[in-house]
Amino acid sequence: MFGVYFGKYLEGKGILTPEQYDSILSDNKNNKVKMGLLAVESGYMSKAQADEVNMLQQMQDKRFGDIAVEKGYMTDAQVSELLKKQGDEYLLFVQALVEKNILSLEGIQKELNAYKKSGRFTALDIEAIKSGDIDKIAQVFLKNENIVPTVTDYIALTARNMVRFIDSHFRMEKVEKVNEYTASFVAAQELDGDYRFFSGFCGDGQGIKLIAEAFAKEEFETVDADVLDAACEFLNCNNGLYATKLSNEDVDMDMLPPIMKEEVTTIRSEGNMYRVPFYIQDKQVDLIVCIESKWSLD
Amino acid sequence: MASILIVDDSRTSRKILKGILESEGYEVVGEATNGQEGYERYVELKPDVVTMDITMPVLDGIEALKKIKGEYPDAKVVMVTAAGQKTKMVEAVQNGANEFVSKPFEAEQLKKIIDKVVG
Repeated sequence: MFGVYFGKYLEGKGILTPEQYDSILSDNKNNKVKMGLLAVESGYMSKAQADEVNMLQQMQDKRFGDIAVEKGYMTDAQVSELLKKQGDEYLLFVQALVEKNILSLEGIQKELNAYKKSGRFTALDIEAIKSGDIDKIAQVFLKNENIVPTVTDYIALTARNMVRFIDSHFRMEKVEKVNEYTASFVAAQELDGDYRFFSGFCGDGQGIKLIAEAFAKEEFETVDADVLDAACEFLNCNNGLYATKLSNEDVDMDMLPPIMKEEVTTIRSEGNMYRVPFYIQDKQVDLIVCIESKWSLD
Repeated sequence: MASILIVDDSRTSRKILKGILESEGYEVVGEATNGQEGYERYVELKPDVVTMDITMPVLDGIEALKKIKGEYPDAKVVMVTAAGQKTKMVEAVQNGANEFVSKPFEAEQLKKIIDKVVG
C-alpha cells in the first residue's frame, strides 16, 4: 500500500518509470505471505482452522487475524508476530528503491518530506500510509469535518474490499462533499430501511471495467451491460457486508436491485453526497455515496 | 449428480455460480433472471435443487420461494444472500428454504451445502 501512494508520487515526478513502479509493486506483493499460511506454518492454527477462518472472511468485513482471535485460535500477540513476519511494506519498498539504485536512503527521506508537504499530510498521516494498513490509510483520506461517520465507515469498508477482491494496488484520494456529479457510466445500488442510502461506482467506464474484470475473473472488450452487472455484483457483496455491520448495531437495511446506466447521467443530492476518487491501474473510478438525503439520477 | 436450476438477475453471479457447480460435478440444467422466470423454469425442469437469489426484479426470491414451495412442498431451494440480509433469511426459513449460501461464493462451502440439501 505504501508503495502505491509514494511510488505514484515518485512516478509523477519522473523519479520512477511506470515499468519500475509496476515491477517493484509486483515484487513486493509476491514477497508478502498470506496470514493463513503463516498461521499454519507457525503451528498456531491447524489447516482446518485456517480454512474455516478464510471461509468466514467471505461473509464478514474482518481481517483474518481478527476472526482467528475471536474464534480463540490465536492470540493478539501471535497475530502481531505474524503481521511482522508478513513483511514491512514500507521497508520492502525502500529496499527496492535502494537496491535498484533509484534513490539513496537520503534521497528517499528528502522525497518523503516533499510528498508529505505536497499532500498536506501530517506526520501521523505519513505513518499511517507507511503502515500499509488500509484502515489507517482510508482514515487519512477521509478526514473531513463535513462527512458523517456512517459514510466514513462505508467508504473505509469499500476500500478494504477493493484491496481484497479487486486490486491490492488500489489507491484512493481525498473525499469531498458534492451536490452534483455527472458520469458516462454508473453501477450503483440503493439500500433502504432505517435510513436511505445510495452508493455507486461512476466514471468514464474504464475503472468500472477493471472492477468488473477483477470480480468476474473475465475480460470484457467494451464497457457494456455485462461490465456494469459485474461491477454491481461486487457492489452488492460490498453492501451486504456493510448491511451486516449495521445489523450488528441494530440498524436494518435492505438491498434493492442494482442501478445500471450506460448513458451520461447526473446524480443530484440536496444533502449528504460525497465523492471519493479510486484508482485501479491508474484508471479512475469515483465512488459516490449519498445518505439520508433526497437524490436523483437524470 | 444433482441437477440444479440457478435463479439470479445478475449474469456475473450466474456465471460464477455455474462455474463452481459444474467444476464440482453438478449439472446446471437451467438459468432464470428473476423469480417469476425461476418459478416457470422449475415447473418445466423439476431440478433437484434451485439456487435462488433474494433481491431480484419482477418477483423477488422470497416470493418465488413461496410460489414454488406452495405447489411443490418437496422442492429443495437454497437461498443465495449477500451478507447482511438477515431479515430476508428469517423470512426465507419461515417459507421453507432448505439452506443458505452467501455471496461472494466460496466453492467448498457451496459444495457442502448442496451436498447436504441433496442428501
